[in-house]
Amino acid sequence: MRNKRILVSTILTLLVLAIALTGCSGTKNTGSGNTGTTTSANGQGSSSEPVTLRVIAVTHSWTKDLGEIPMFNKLSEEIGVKIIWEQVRSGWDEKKNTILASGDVPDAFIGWGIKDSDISTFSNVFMPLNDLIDSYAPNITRMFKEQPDVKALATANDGNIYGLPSIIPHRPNSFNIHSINRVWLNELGLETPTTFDEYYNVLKAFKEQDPNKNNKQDEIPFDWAPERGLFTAMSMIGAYGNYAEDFSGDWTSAKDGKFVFLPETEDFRKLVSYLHKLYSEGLINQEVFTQDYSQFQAKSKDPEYEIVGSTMGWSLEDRFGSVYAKDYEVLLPLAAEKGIKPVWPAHPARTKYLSNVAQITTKNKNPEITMKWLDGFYTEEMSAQGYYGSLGVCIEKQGDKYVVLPPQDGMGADEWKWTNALVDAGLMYVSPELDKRIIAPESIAQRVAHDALYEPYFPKSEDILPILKFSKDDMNELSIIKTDILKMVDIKWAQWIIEGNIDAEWNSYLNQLESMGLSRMKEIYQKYYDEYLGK
Amino acid sequence: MKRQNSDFVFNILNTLICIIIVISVIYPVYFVIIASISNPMSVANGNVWLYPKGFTLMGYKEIMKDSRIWAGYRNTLIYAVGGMLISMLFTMPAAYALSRKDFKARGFLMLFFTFTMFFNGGLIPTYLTVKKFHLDNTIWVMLIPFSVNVYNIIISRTFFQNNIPSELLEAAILDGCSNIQFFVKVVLPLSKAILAVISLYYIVGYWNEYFKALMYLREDKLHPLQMVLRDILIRNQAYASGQLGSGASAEGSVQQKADLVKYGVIVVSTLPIIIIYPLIQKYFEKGVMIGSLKG
Amino acid sequence: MYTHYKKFIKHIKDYYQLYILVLPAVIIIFLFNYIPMYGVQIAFREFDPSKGFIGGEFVGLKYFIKFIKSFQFADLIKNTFFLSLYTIVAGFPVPIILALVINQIKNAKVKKVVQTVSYMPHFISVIVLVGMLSIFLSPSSGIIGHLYTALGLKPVNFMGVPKYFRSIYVLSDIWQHSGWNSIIYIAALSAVDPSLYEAAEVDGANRWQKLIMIDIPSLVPTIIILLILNSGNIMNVGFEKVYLMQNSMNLPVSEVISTYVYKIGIMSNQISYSSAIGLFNTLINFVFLVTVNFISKKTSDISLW
Repeated sequence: MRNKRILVSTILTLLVLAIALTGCSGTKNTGSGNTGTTTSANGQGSSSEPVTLRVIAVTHSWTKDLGEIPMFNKLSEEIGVKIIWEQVRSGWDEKKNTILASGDVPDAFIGWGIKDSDISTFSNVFMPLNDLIDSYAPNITRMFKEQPDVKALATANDGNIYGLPSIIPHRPNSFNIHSINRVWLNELGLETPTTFDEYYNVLKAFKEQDPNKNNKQDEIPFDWAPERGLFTAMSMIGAYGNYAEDFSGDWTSAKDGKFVFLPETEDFRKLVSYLHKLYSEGLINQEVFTQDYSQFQAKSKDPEYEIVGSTMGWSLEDRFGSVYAKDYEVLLPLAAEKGIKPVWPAHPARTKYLSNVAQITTKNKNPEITMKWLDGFYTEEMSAQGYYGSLGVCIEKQGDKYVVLPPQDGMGADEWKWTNALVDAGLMYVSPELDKRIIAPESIAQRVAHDALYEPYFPKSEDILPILKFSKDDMNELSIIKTDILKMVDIKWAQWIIEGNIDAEWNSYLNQLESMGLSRMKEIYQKYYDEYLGK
Repeated sequence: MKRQNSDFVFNILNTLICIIIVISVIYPVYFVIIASISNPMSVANGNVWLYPKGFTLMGYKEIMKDSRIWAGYRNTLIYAVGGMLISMLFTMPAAYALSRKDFKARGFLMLFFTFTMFFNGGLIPTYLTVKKFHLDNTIWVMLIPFSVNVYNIIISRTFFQNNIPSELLEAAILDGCSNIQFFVKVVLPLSKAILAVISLYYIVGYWNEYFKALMYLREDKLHPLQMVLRDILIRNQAYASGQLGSGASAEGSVQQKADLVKYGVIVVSTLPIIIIYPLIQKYFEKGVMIGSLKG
Repeated sequence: MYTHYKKFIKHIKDYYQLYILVLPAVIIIFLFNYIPMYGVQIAFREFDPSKGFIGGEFVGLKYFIKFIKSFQFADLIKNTFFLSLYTIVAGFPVPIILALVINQIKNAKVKKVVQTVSYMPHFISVIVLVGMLSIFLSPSSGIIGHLYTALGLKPVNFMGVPKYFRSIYVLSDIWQHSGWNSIIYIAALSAVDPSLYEAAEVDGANRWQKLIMIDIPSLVPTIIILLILNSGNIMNVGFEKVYLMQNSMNLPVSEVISTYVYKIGIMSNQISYSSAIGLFNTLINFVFLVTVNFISKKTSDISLW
């Protein structure tokens, strides 16, 4: 009867539901929760059965599947481990807290996933590595011995090491290059500017005299990147001879062992006034604060004309593309006035070292062999491949040198390396000596050469704020203070450059910063800086 | 005649509004299409607005050559169709039951359902619960735990309340029809419009689902299209935050590709849905159902 | 007592089928929405991962107070509330009007085209949408900029002017989602009994009158329910679009609760704090919902419960 049929079908539905809920699905993967099924008796990684390790790797979105990269497979085979990779290319921030808080962690993390704050918040998840390194990691031990500051970088406040660091090859000391259009200077018969006044005159000429010869006043004399990052006009604060930003993105710095917050200094006030003068005469991109990164990069690479006169950025090629790059050159740091020796920001620890590239979790049943495996990345051969890619595919050994091969598959050099290696997410130790023996591709070599031009202007080490490690509670407190303060600074930086009036508002601005907790912020920073110096 | 005049004016007004709608909507959509095949530098500099400039199919090539796309499409089809069917199966009967004013539990159940639209335990406890049932990292997590959308229940309930006349129920009861029979034999055939809408909402919801897949599916082979596309799309964002002092491209080509791809991604992910809609549209024809009933 | 019992049994006998219809949904919601609610406790506890998710020490309203006393509290609430209110109020009529207009189209093909075209923008991802806004609104290179120059006016940098932020946000929202949101109204209109139109025709009503007297009333129940539901979202401003649209110039207006929580979360993992903020948000939403629902019940007899 119909009634019965309907009843039966409803019951069947509920049955399906129930079955599904008890998780009898056949597609359930076998990899989850499966750690260390075979433990070799003495943890020496005997070649009997490979130990299975579950690893989460947070990589660049260009990076191919790690299981398809020859150097990693070779390493796993040598050590006697089988890696089950879970690779995250996007959305890691959204997942991270859930994975760490739920305890659903793998045996190890590799790449960009974990920061100091994660380690201090989820202290029960990460294993201290000191003993493991001493016993099973000869290459890492060697790195620590030869480069003690990288060991300090990796050591937390409790003396333990939770995350391994890397030293990467072919790095400049400074992130930022101030560039200027040499062709335009020549066109207009101008000298390379060395002071703020000279720069002002050059920019004015760029704007008014149509150096790109298209009968339109479309030139943008000076442009910098949106957001408070690495490539902004803040790098010019050294024109007054005092401070260099520390590339933390927080506009912090140091002077003679004292913590400095740049946005409250007199030099900041003067710099902003100068920038306002430039902006008010149209010498700065009117959309410098509202453009997005795509537009910023597109302006300097417009296919029809060169539009940008001078700018900030990673390198000439990055900013102008291969077609226009040869028309530009590095602009040495400007002095606010003649007679001042300007400072150009540099932070070798940030450019050359990576921290927290690998961690072992407390869920790991085979930490010894995991450490051996991780250590395997730090041999000379693996390190040479770590940045550019596997031997035979991306890099080639010639005698005692390693030569980077040209890219394939129609990719550019950059894309090729990011596809085939972990690059800035990778584990490796490239000592200064090895660095010389890896022959860098042309564009990278050029970048390092440009960096050398800035060397006479780099700050002394007492004027570089090191990377500090805060306790969980201090970090929590700081994060709130910084969010409030930096928001105000962003607003005012933009507002004063566009509208001026900084002098009238300066005092109330300082008071505002104070009421948001600036003193407390300085106190916390100074405390940790003192501890660092004391070591 | 007066009426013809006012109707005429009405017509003109209506047509005018339609034209404005079509143009204002179609232009940006058209822009997305031509941007996906233009030189991205020109696009970002505002030089592309009527026709493509610097024609290139590189964006699409880039997307299509990622082998995960095809697995993504397949998985999304499973999740979308399977999910929609399961959701409809759970949602529509519930909505009907709740539409019955004589159903005593109605008030309580409405509160029961609505409450969850505003209070939830949070991401981590939900994750832990899903784990407890061993649903994580399986296709079932995409089909069962989040299959009931309360918003859809509420809309469907409203529809039932207003379009199923009580006389019908009375007549059916007289004929000895049970509640479930009435639902299946009378209500459903009359509700094609709402069935079409809600299944569209569900299928689109499943089609676009990104976050749940991100949280609960650990293996590449289970990933739906949106996750693959997001990986592709995010290549642009990595550059945007400028944290790429680390590996900032030595050449413009990487940034270019990323920009190009983001428009192509829209086209690739949306095309199937746009094709489906006209098929469901016929259920929205005026008076498609009631008329047949009056007999 | 016995009569109550008998009544109850009778009720179950008569209505058990309706209970069956509603059961699967109830089970799912219970299992995956109610059970996890134990996690709400974390807003009142000090998160301590070694003690399990909710094992931390009980700290009561500590984090709520922290939020209320925080420097940006007033700004965040204000920005979030007004952005949301503007979105709801401005965005509400448009799908309705759209549905009414489309419903009037006689030619079936044209109707199909207009409908399909109107909902296409819904699928454009927010990253691309904001990218497009930047391009179109750029004073130097965007279409709007060109328009201004053509008219002899100095172009305005819209994305940078705080007072335009909300309008850009809301108008682009309306543009993007009205077509999609009109679908439910179109469906409701299609369910209208055609004999009503015939009767009206006989009475000599013109198209405008038919619209007012038949179309609109048929939409009223749907309109009211959706309005109630939307009011429960009053404090929910999604993170992504706002974050992408933020820049140094519009920050005073564009910093909302979700972006604030995100920024703190980049530097620290304050799970208890962000939970407390989320719960606070939810409370405001709920109060609104209940109020609007109550008002609606009293005035129109249409309500959620």
